[in-house]
This record gives sequence, C-alpha cells and structure tokens, in this order.
Amino acid sequence: MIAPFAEVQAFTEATRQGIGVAIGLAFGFALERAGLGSARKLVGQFHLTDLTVFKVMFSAIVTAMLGVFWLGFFGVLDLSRVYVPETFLWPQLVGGLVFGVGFAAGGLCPGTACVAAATGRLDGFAAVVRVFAGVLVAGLTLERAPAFYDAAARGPQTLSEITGLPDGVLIFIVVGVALLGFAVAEAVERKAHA
Amino acid sequence: MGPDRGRAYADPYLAGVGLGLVLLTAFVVMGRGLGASGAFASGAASLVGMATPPYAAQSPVFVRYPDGFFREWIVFELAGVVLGGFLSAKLAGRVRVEIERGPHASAPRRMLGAFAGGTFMGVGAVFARGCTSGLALTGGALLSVGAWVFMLATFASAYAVAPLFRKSWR
Amino acid sequence: MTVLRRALLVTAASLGSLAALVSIASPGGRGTAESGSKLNAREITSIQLADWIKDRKPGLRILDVRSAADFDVFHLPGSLSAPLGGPPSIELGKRDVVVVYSEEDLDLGEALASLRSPAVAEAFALRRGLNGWLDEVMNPVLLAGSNTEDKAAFEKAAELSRYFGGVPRVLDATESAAFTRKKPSSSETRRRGC
Repeated sequence: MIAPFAEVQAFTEATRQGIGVAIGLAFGFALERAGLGSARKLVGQFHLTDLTVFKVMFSAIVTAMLGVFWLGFFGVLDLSRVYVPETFLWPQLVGGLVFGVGFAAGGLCPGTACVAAATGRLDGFAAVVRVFAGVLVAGLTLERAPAFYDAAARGPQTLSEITGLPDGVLIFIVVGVALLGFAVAEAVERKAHA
Repeated sequence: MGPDRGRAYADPYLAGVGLGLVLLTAFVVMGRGLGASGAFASGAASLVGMATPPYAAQSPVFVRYPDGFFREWIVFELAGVVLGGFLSAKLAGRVRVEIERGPHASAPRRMLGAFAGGTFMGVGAVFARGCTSGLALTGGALLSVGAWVFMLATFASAYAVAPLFRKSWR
Repeated sequence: MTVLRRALLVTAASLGSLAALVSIASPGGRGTAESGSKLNAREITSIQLADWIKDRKPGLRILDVRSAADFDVFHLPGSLSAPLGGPPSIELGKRDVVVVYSEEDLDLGEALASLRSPAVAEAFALRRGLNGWLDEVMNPVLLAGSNTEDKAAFEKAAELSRYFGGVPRVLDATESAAFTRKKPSSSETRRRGC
C-alpha cells in the first residue's frame, strides 16, 4: 500500500497546503468547465430543462468510486486510511431537506457559489456571504441542541455494512443506475427542447 | 440552451469524469475528499473563537475546527477552487460582472433568492456536516450511508420547492 | 451519441461489472487484496495496535470505554479511561490517531459521539477489543499443521507478544486438537449495523 500519500509519509504543513490549493484549483476548474458556476444552468436541473448537474455529479461519483475500488483491489490505496464522512442519520436527513430548499432558491451550492463569485457573478457572491451567515447562526444555535446534532450517530458507515452486499455489487448497482439515469436525462432534455 | 457568454461549456460527462479524477486524486494523495462548507464552518469557528473563546469551545459544531482558519486544509482547497474557477472562466472568456437571472426577472428578486438560498444552505450544511461537495460527492463515491441519505433528501426538497423560484429565471 | 461518450459508457459499464464479479468471487470487499479476512473500514487488529504501541506511533491515543473499575483491574498499556456516557474528560487533538476498545467489539460511531471530541485525524475500533488483545497478542498460538503464512504471522505475533510480556505457544498435534479458542467468524467481527 503506497497511498494515501499524506498518511503513508508525513507531509509538512506547507506541502499539505500546497496540495490543497492545487487540488482545489483542479476542482474549481472542472466545475466551471462543466458550467456549474452558473446558477441558470444549475436550476435547469430542478426545472427539468438542463440536467447538467446530475450528469456531472454522477459521472464524477462513478469515476471516483470505480477508481477507489480498483486502486484498493490492487493494493495501491489503503482504504482503511481514507476518511469516510461519518453518518448521523437524522441530522443528515433534515440537513439535506433544508439544504435542498437553499439549493433551489439560490441556484447554487456552497462550492459552485464560490466559482460563480470568482467569475464575477454578484448573485454567487451574495450566496457565499449568506452561506457563511447561515453556518455561523446554525453553529451558534446548535449549541443548545447537541442531542439532535449527534442523533443516530453511526460512524463511517457504508452501504455495504447495512445491506450486507459486497462493495463491488453496490458499485455495479450505482453504475447501472447512473447509466440508466443518463439515458433518461438525455430523453428529458430532448423533450424539453423539442 | 447554450451559455450566454464566452465559449460553450464542456461535455458534461467529460467534465464529470475530470471532476471524478480530481476527487480520486484527493483520496489518493490526501486520504480525504473535496469540500466547501467545511471552510465556511472553519471561518465561523475562528470568528466565534476570537469573539468569545469559551462559546466556540462548547459548540458541538465549532469544536470540530480547533486549528484556526489558516491551518485547515479545506480552506486552502477552497481558495484553490476560487482560483481554478476564475482561471477556467478567464480562459474561456466567461468572466463578467453581472447578476445572473432570467431575461424578464428583476435583479432584486434574484438577489433575494441567492440571499435566502445561501442561508438555508449554510444551516443545512451545518446539520448534515457537509454539503454537495464534501458530503454528497465525496461520501457518495465512498458509498457512505449518510452521504446518500443527504443527497436524496437534498434533491427531493429542491424539486419540491423549485417551482416557487422559477420566476427568477423567466 | 459521440465516440467519446460511447467510450466512457463502455468503460464505466465494464469496470462496474468487473467490480461486482471480483467481489463475488473473492468475498472480503474493499481493499482486502492483501489481508485475507474482512476488516471493517475503521477497525484495527490487536496485532496492528501492538505494533503501533511498540513503535510509539505519533499521536496514538488509546481509549478504554469500559467502566473505571474495569479499567483499574486491567487495561492496555498506555490507554486512558474514558467510560461511555461519562463526562468528557479527555482532550483530543486534530493530529491524534484514536483507538477505542471495550471488552469485545464496539460501535465506533457511538463511542466517538460519546467522546464529544473534535474531529481527530483517524479513529479506529479495536477488533474484538480486550479479548482480541488477550488472544492475539498476549497468548498467540501456532497450531500443528499450520501453513507457512500462518507461521509467518505467528512469528510476528510472538515477537510482539514477548515485548508485552505475553506467552506465545507452539502446540503439538494433540494440544492443537484440544485447543478450542473461539475463532472469530466474520459475522461476529462485523461492526453492528443499526
């Protein structure tokens, strides 16, 4: 196992930061190339006129998922040392519902709002400022409801742990659903523009 | 619907694969994925920490970012996002100061949407401990249960309320 | 459909199908090409932990979540007492690698939520807890008729065992037949799902 590099060999703080900027740069570049720095394009997803969000997001998930699986399979990447976001079922369900309202209203998400702002869009800049305000307010308020914030904590739980299916099978299912979804997305767009 | 300015956007599938490779690189090099809201949370934590230190230490949210704004990896990553987004738009001739909205929509209406949307997203991201990048994308690729729950909830509620904001885009 | 899209589609479909095939053919799932038995993403074995303690792995913090009374009777070298549900008494840092253990397997998510600590670099549950430690580190045995792989693993365990004052034993055929240590089955070592 030679990866993750930062775990296998200790990086200096400056190296980590430099890598952070480089990876972020590529991330921002890819988002802008796809058109996700544009709220008009993003809301097309919810009005079913332009399904770029779904196509980009699921292409990315499928690519990274397959990469992680195969690098792990060939012993390059030590998966036990990759940080898996922890599951907190109820706060994540409620958080998702609240976030979705913001996503539709703002037409951007925190990352794409930063890209929108960087390309001169004032609505993107407004969203960035307000995301910060929202985080600040929620952070200060949640202090009074720590029980809910930690509700249904399950650690870094994966789908394979709750379904009992091996990762490879779940990956097969996700890839299948994504490819099917792409076909549907193309059909929906054709219909919307017909 | 093509882009309103500059060169056409890239093929979404190709851009998505590119994005996926960036995410994979983050896993391989750093052992963690991408993110955005974490940087906001770290900023908020530092701000509260400066104003009232004990408050920040008690908050279950802010206590997760004890290192300070300029020591969090995610902050450097998000700085890169801003740079990368600008660079890409610049190369394609897509940088322009404007309030993006529908041809018949007023600027205040759109700004109101962006304001309200940003707030909801900030609150939602705190509850969920992540956003579309840090949780849905990163956790989705790692088959995290919470990430898929968050993703489905986000899309469900976005579809439910999107008609209310359609006027900004007409 | 363009040639590019077709190529991406075929690649995703084949890598996804292969992923399902290899994980059905060799159950064990993600990243277990090297180690034979299934290890949950956030579990470590007693041998691994012993290795870390011996090597003085930087940032290693071992937390015992059993009661303080149990802790006083016996605990792992270098561990701290952090009873589940008790007041948070241990300060953890961002660079810390945390290993929590109990009598047997435990729910890592629950334990971490109870610690109410900031995000640490990594957190692991000790597989089979103290029982695993006693079996694998303090009392490793080599059964008669073991293959070379088992022998190599035993040599490593024996070396660690002597470091921690344990008693490695090589059993002959009759002793091996009488030896009935409970072998952890994969379903038992699996972290509790819900």
